[in-house]
Amino acid sequence: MDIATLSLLILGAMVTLLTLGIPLAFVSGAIAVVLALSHFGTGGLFIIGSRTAEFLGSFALVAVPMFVLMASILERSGVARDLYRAFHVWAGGISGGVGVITTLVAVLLGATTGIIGGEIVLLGLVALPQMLALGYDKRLAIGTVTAGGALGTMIPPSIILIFYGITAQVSIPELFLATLLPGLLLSGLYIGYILIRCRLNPALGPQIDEADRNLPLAEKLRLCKGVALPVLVAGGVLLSIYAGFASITESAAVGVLGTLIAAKVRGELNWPMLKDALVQSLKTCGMVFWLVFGTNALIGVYNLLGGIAFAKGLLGGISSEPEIILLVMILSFILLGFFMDWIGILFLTMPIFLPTLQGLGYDPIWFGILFNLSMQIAYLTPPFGPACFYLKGVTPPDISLQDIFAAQWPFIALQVFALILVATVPGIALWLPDLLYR
Amino acid sequence: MTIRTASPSIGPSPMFLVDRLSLWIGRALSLVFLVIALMLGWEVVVRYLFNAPTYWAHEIAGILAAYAFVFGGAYCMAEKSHMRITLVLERLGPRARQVIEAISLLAGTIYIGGLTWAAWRMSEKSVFRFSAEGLWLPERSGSSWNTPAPGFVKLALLLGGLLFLLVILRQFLQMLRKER
Repeated sequence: MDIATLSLLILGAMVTLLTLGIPLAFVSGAIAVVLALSHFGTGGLFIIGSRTAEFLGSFALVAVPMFVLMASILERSGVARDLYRAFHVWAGGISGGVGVITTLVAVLLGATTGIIGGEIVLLGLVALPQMLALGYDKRLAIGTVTAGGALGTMIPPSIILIFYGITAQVSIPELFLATLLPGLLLSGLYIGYILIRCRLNPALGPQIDEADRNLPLAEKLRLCKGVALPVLVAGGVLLSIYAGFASITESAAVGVLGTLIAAKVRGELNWPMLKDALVQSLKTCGMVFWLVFGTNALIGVYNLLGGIAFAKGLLGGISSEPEIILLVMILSFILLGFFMDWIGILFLTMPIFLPTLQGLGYDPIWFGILFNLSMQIAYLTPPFGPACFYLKGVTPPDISLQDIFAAQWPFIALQVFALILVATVPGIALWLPDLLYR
Repeated sequence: MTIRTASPSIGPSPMFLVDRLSLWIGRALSLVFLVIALMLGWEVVVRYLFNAPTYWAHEIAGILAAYAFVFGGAYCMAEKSHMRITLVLERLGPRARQVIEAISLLAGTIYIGGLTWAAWRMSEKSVFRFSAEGLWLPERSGSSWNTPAPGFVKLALLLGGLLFLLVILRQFLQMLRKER
């Protein structure tokens, strides 16, 4: 069988098995084992074993459970609720003010976590009921929560960029720095959108209660006290990474300790809570890593079969214009994002895209940010939109999944706009790392 | 609906020994994350305050984390919380769901079985190595401490894979027994 037919067969098998509901962790791994055995005999299994062991041995991976644990502890404390409460009284008499505040809180939470699930659940529990109670437009409120929560991987630290950095073998601190401005740009676009919509039609985003608005300044400041420590910890972790005080993994580990201290000071730390957070982190790692193992195995076998070379040839044959090839790559991220999660897309496309990219002379750091932005879109787009599923888990039953998906389109449009901006003006991503590292 | 944490086709099932073992090991290994945080925190402190970096913190943290990641797979399997897309599954009848469940377990057996077999052969070469005089000669990391870290990681894959496989096979057996 030639490689073109084989590639189609693999793709068909993957799509079929995934849609049927076979666990994601098994689909690519099982295909990899079958391919290895049928083409190379039992010896082929070694490529699967050694790739998995090699991947498992990379120290940068230790940062993942540290960031996940930090997020799990914060999720179990009242920090998100207090953060929201402290911010919300500053919304003042602006229409859409609480939506803006929700986005700002999402950015801050994004700086404490590198994953999106927990953040969306928190915002869904804390911010969404508040906005709906004020009489916010349902779609505007839902979209603010899902798009804002998805910022978790766009604002550093970011699990996506850790895995991208390992795959592309580029500096993770540089990636974290490069994503900062695009992340803020995206948040700014959300805020601008909310403000404009609410200025045109104030009924979409009513103001906060009189009582909250007229809270004395001292009272407003007092509310900030409880959240100062966790915010400082998150800021400290990023500073330590950027300034190079400690490696990413070490900074994240110190962040865990800082978060524990913050929870202790807030009187929220106890053994059942910590145990719960630890087990949650183990579960998240179990899910994510086995997904990665399987995809990584398939890539290894596919490469040995000449598949990567084939796909690269296919990609290179599209056009002689580098811009067109880049466009095709980004479009395939977005297209795959309708059906797959970011890990699958990362491991499926990067072995093909990265060598081609370097041949074209593009910066892999900038490309990582374009990937990260594309994954923002992937989080929201149906039928496989993880952000929407996470939110559905915590919304009242009268909000259907259809409602949630319908709310996403304006925010997806803003994400596409931000993606185009960063693609045409690479400086938005590269200015900061150039300034500090190069 | 789509990413869900419970298997839609088989309801609450009695806990079997392998499941209980997987969950227990998972809970125990989750403590590893706390140990890693403390170890790396210590490493940063002694490096900056006493200018005396440890030689062991990173290597041990890496090995411990590898065990937690690998055994997390068996934990999620025992809990049936591996991610799956249930869009189609939810619209099917009990019979069709049963078939899909069987395919899932078969795919799991093929993948985890193949991986565990490879991990066994690699561990054999890397961990169970002896000189002619019977001295233990494992594959070493080549760092300043030169631990047998690569062997430990392969061993993690072997042990964790084996437990994962046992949980899958246990669910398979349960399904077959129900059929009869």
